[in-house]
Amino acid sequence: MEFDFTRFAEQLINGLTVGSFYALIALGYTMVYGVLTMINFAHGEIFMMGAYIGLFSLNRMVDAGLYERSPITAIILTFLAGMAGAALTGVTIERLAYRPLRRAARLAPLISAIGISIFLQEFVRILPAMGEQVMGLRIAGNPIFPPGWQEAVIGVLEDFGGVQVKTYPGIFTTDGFYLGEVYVTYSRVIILVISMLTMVGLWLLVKFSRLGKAMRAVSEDKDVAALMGINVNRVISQTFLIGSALAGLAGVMQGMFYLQIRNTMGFVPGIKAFTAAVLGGIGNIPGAMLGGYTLGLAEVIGIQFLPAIYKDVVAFGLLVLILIFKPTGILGEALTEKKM
Amino acid sequence: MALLEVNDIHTYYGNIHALKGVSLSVEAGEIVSLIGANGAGKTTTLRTISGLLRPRQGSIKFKGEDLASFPAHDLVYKGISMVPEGRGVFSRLTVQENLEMGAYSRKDNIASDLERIFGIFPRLKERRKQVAGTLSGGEQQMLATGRALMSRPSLLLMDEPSMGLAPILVEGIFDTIQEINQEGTTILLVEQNALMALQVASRGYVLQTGEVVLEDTAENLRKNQMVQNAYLGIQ
Repeated sequence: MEFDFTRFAEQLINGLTVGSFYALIALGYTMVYGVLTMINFAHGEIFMMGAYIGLFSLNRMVDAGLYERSPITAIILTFLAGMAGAALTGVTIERLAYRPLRRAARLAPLISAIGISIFLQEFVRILPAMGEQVMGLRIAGNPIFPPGWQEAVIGVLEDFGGVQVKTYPGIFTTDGFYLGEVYVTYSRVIILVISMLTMVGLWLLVKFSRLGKAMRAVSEDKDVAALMGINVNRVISQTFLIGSALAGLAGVMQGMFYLQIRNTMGFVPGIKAFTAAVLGGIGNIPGAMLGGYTLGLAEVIGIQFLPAIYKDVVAFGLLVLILIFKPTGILGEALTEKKM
Repeated sequence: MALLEVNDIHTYYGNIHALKGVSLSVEAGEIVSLIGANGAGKTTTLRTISGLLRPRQGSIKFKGEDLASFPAHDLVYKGISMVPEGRGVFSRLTVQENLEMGAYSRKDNIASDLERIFGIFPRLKERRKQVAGTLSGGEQQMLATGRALMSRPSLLLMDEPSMGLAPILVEGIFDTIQEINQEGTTILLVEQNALMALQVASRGYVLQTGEVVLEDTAENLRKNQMVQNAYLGIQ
């Protein structure tokens, strides 16, 4: 097999792009693990919700003509809406599905998370059908809702979710530039820049802000953190909020740059990002970033030597190897007794 | 009116009746010691006062206010601070960050308090940028104490400050306790090292299987036959 450097370099850039997604999603896993020592297996679905809510908002802005007047504003608002929607989803999940199980056995919140994951996937899929059922309710043969409403509500729900694949408008083209022999699209550059800036921002927040220090304190010892005057439940909510917003950002990027979204889109990236979080050292924030990029690059390097269809085998093979040989991950420290 | 009034509290771990009606009071300016064997309920008493555990029965009043309805994270705003058992420093945070967490409840400038803590514990100043997990046991105790003082508490709860420390360090810790008290902080001290605890305290309570079996001035307790036999190792 002849080594094609140009193609390899393109693959590396591809790996960094995919790695950005893994890293952004992995941060949510690792932050939640940090404060609660649990894996939020519904995190992939929060990513999916971000993509759906982003698209729904974007469609509204297209309808209102805002996108035509000022595309940049509309794009920024789409990102903010997707992030806010994902954040709200994450905070609600924590409040309803995890907090009541805070003192339960370790397996209980995990099962709850898997339940939420299935719930969200199905919720998005059957939402229009559900709306149709509700709007068609009758009392004594008479419809409860006037026919005008029915159409409007079902229209909105169909615009949000449904069985079919949904498609973002093609905003970003495949335009790009040559870096030597290597063609780089602008959209790749945008993904990398947005992701890295966000991660630097997160790192600064965790390192220097009052909230960041409180998060680190809570992740070490909730009782002692409470003695310092930290409202532990509020910090846990805020952790879900930030982690979910990052997943929402990734979700909107997925839609903006790869166009198609569907209700099951969160599953594979969710598991890959979980792998990235474990790879970097679960609970460790720089580890999640490093793990995300490492996994993205490992996949593209792996398929230099294997058929492309083996990409997932490389990723999950890596997960198995880490769990066997270095379960604490690249940057993870040995688990203390307290964490066990 | 006493600064802290604990009246007949009953605390449970699940079905285990850990405190069976503990009552005690601490006057402003005092050092009060709570002594007793392992499992007597000393730590449980402190954790109940600090709000980490809820009594099923009985009341805790601080400055006349009933604390029952306040979660643990509100108490530091009221003026209660705790040095927890096993020190509980945030091992991945630096020394300085640990001290800043101690002042989490305050919005004003903490620079002068940091200087004050570094004055009491110069070792902490040398190691301020170091991660707390790398400190020795004695240094961690200093850090936990300094951190608790950063909130400028009117009542400091200390749980076994001498635990696991070399004898030479233990004396230093008790000197510091007296120093802190002389600067105006009231202290409720839980200790297995009854000898030292009764030397620094003005009054003491003896706890046995979740009940107060004896209370008196520290001086009288030191002379008490039962205390001497059971806790001071004097036959």
